Amino acid sequence: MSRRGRIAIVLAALAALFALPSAASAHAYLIRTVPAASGVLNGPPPNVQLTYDEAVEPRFAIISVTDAAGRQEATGPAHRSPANPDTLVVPLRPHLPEGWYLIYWRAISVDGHPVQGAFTYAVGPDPGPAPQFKVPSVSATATKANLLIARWVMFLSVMAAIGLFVLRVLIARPLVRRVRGTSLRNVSVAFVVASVVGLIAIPVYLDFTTANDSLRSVFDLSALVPLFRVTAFGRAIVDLELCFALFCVAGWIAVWVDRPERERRSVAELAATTGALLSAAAVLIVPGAAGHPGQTSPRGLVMGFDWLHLAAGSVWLGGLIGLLLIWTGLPAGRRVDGLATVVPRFSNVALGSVIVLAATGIGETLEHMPLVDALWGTGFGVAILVKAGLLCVAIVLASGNLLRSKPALAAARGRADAGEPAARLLRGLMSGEVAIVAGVVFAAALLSSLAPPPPAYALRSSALAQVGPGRVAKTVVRNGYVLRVLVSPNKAAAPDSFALRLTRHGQPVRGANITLTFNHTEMQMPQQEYQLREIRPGVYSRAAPALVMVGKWALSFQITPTGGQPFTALILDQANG
Amino acid sequence: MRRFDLKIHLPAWGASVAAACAAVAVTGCGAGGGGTVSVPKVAPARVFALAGFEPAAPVAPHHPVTVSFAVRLPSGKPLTTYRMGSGPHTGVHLIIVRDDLAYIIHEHPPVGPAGFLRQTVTFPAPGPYHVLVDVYPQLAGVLPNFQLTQTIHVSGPYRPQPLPRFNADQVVDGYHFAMQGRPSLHAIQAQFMHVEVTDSSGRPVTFTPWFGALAHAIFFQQGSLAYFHTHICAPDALNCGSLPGVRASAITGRSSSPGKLTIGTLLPAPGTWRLFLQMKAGGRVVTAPFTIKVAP
Repeated sequence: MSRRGRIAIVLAALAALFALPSAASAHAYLIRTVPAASGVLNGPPPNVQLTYDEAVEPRFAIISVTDAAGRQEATGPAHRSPANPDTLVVPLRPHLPEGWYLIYWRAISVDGHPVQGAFTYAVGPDPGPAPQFKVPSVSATATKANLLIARWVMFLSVMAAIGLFVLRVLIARPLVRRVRGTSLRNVSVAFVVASVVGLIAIPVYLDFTTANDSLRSVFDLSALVPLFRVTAFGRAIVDLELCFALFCVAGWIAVWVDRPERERRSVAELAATTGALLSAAAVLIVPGAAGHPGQTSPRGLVMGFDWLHLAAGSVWLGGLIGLLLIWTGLPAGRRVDGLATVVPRFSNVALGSVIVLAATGIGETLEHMPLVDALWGTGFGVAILVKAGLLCVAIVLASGNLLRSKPALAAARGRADAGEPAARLLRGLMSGEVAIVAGVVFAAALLSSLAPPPPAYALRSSALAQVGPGRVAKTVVRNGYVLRVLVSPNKAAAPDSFALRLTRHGQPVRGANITLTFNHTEMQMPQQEYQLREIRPGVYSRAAPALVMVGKWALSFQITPTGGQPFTALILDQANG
Repeated sequence: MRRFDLKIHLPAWGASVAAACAAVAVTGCGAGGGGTVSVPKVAPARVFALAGFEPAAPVAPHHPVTVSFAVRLPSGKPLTTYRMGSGPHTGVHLIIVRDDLAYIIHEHPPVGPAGFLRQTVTFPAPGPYHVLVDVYPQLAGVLPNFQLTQTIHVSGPYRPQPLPRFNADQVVDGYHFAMQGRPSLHAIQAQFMHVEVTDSSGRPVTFTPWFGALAHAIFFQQGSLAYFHTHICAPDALNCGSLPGVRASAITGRSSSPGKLTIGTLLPAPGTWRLFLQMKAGGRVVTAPFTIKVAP
């Protein structure tokens, strides 16, 4: 095939990869409730039905229905509606008395993220005034300490195992042949230890996260194990364990049959190494496919970035640990020669890895960040900044090795004494690097537990004013019109009244067509749109339970005055519970 | 011999894997059969309530009794700001019915200092009385009106009276209330009923405005004591008609000529309802009760 033909095929394949459709949405959201939120029923309902945009797992869901006194009225666990798999149903005590009820729900998205919300309804005809409910704590997220640590240990051990394997069979192998009396046993042992820790850490993490999601104890294995493969996220972690186990077995065989003192590798070793590298490649796809990259458009591109990012990180982390172990294992007399053999080979790989890490990291950040100030305005952005900062420190240390230790070691080859200071510097800088890269992996564990800001975050930049929490009365000017925005009581999960007094040259503007659009700027949620009604000349109003969650909402008024140019005025509103 | 690098370490990691598996198995067996989901506890909500309600103990019939209370807000403070001005959607409507709907008392106590309300009433017979306080607050973000309830026991032998059947013609204090046709009402449907009121000499009655309306139509459902209250307004009455957020005012009755009342209804549930139609004429408030069936 011609060169041009091959290039065309590669380009076509890349285009096909990047064109993979993105999943519809990151998190499950509630699209319909029976009874209706804030509604007053004329009689007690037999049950509560919540319909989501995806088939959430009832075994991971809780639907709590309580009266004003806090008494639980749900008589059983949530179950899936036989009529609609996206609907959860919870039975209620029969003949609920008149009054107001709080529904608090929590469900696990197919991607493993918990989502929750609350709303009220009343049993009438005379429910009385709506009380002020205390919505249960909203801290049940994926960022709990035990989950985060388990996730970190899992990432660290899996990445270290892959990196140690690559160092052992691809980078450091010539050491044994070129420098007499050296061995790679330390690296092999570290690889086995890291892989065993990984094999244990993955199911432990799965157990922790399933326990957290299903609100059970982590030791309740008889209940948890059947839930492991229920969500896509759980299945991905099981896949990760299986791929990683394959990698471990192939890797152990490869290391076992390898004779590094011979230059040529045996067929068995080549086969085992190829198998191990392929399974490692598969292992590194799983986190991206199960997490946010798999749900960010363009999916192929972002998942590719994620894979490269993880692969580069693994090679770097495992290589650093392995090199430190080689350093310790080398007899003093052969240290400089040994390092002078391995360090340049690793340096080249490490430099490539760092470039790939930085480039893919920046690429992924650009994909996820709807607005630059989301970097410091959201937890997700701050985690990225911390991670990038740590990475920069690690790169400074690495460049010290690249510019000082590596040339000094090469120059001192054959003269153990002359190279000793350079070897010490190398060890010091690499120890620092390992610690910092472990920190980077922690930041990555945190980052991947947080939800990236939604596209609606970008609306913040066009806000005319920031208002709330609490009652809102704010005047803004736009296109020569004076807008007085009133939101009362501006509470989440409650019926709020939204009003706009529109004047121009001090005169009320009558007959305008005004639509109010709601977007949550911190969470991926469906947009809501309401038409405002003119209740008095120039005063447009609507009552709606639109602020369904606590947080910063973009309230966008689309105003079309009769005979005037349409325009939009956007207010950023903080709603509290 | 470095060929079997790992050989001496195999038992070590093999043992650690076995130990980990054993640990998992042990914890699994130990915890088997549990598996309860921990549903979060929900703290009691802060509610609107009647504070300092008197009388708390049973009272005697036929003697004046002072009913007093304040409306406590979720914040714990008493409600002191009520909707005021013209029209019936103001202040506090104190409506007391015996549980069998044989008697009704309808008053509008003035708002006293610190939001305290006081009303002297005389209970006509023994039995349990349902006290309904219909509140029209002047508060942001709170519905224009809401109801709170209480029970007062009037001592003595309680003999519940069965509700009489529907009778289109009621004569009270010499006034003749004639329902025009038998109303065929359905739940959650806005409908109208027509009543003609004549005095003892057969002349159409000229209604005196009373608490912002020409007449009040108060409905209670038999058994549940569900409540619905609507007004009959003069064509030019201020603030008498519909008030956004007040369910009962979604449909408003009219009286455009003497003696004729058009009652707007929107009853929330099917069943047997008791309508207390109240109007003021000749300086007196007259209440005509009707029993009405509401179909689903």
